[in-house]
Amino acid sequence: MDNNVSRRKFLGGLVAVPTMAALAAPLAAVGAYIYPPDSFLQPPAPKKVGNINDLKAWDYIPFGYNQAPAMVIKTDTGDIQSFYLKCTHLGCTVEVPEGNLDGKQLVCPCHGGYFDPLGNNTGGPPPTPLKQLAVTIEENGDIIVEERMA
Amino acid sequence: MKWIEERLPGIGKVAKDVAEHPVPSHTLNVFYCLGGLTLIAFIVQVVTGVFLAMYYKPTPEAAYASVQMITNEVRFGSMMRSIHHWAANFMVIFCFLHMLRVYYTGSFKKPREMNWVAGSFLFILTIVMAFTGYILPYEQLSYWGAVIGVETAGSLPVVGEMAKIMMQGGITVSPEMLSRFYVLHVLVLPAITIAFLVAHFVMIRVQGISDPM
Ligand code: HEM
Ligand code: FES
Repeated sequence: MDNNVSRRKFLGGLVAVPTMAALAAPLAAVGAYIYPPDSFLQPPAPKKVGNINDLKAWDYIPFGYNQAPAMVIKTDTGDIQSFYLKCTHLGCTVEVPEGNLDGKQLVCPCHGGYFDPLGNNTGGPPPTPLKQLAVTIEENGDIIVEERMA
Repeated sequence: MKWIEERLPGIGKVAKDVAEHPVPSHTLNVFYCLGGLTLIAFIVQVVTGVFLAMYYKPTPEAAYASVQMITNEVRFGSMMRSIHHWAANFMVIFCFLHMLRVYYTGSFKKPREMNWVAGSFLFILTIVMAFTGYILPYEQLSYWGAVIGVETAGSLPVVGEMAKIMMQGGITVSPEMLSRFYVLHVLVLPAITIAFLVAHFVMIRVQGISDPM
């Protein structure tokens, strides 16, 4: 076998690898430092937003949760659905018509995005439905919403 | 002069070289001033920015009030703010026009490719400084401007979510966002910009200004 790696090169390589590693470690630490600590990444506590017995089909209740506007709505099967009113296009607040939403549309004023009353995107730029919240109904009918962690 | 020359021999020659360097006659033209105008705007930003930072308070509770205070109570405060505001706008415009000039005259070609790349970084830095500065008064426009910027970054494939959390300082917009943008605006970005400017000007000196078309 040809011995064509000089001693100088070999030793250089030997020193270079740990040097690189030693320089990379603080870089990784800096990255981790800049990334927000876990306590900043916790979802907010569940929130009671109303009672299912106060709602007729396609009635809705708007509320604020996790620093964003959101709503719950009762469907004609008596289900409760909840989603953020934060447009999935670029984050504007989606406008909800007053009163009962039967046959109505939600409109995003920023670039004309359309959603149906269940939050599905039906027209304009929004690429996905509005982000859902997890819903639980208590025995007395209270509606509790909670962030859905992926 | 003699006193300095005795202690730093050769300094006079260096100073003379820098000050008396001739420029080719085809550059005596407003389009070749655009880079220099961008530099002047940047220097104005550094100076007025230091003064604004003396009264500005980078927290969501205090930011807006401190900016109102600078405008209405500090002597020459509204002037200081206006200069910073307008020089920022002009810096973006001059920088962009300078880039167009370099493109139009073909000055990005060999041997100046690296300076074109350095310049591209300067353009991005200029835009990002303008964007991070926009959020600091923490008025409605600032806040929603920042939200749109964050959401735009968040729509990037793969790295989007991570970029969003890094910018917001949490899973939603949080008070940390203002601190982050503030540090970028007054410390990190100007420092990187100065480093790129030095590289930019050294390369111009070494390579000279491009020949006329
Ligand atoms: C902070 C922003 C910038 C400053 C302060 C700046 C400053 C300057 C100055 C003073 C010159 C001398 C010639 C002239 O003024 O036209 C110059 C030349 C040059 N700039 Fe910039 N510049 C900036 C951004 C850019 C950008 C965005 C580009 C392009 C991507 C760029 C590419 C170049 C090139 C290639 C030259 C050499 C031109 C030649 O030899 O004709 N610079 N710059
Ligand atoms: S942000 Fe809603 S349509 Fe663009």
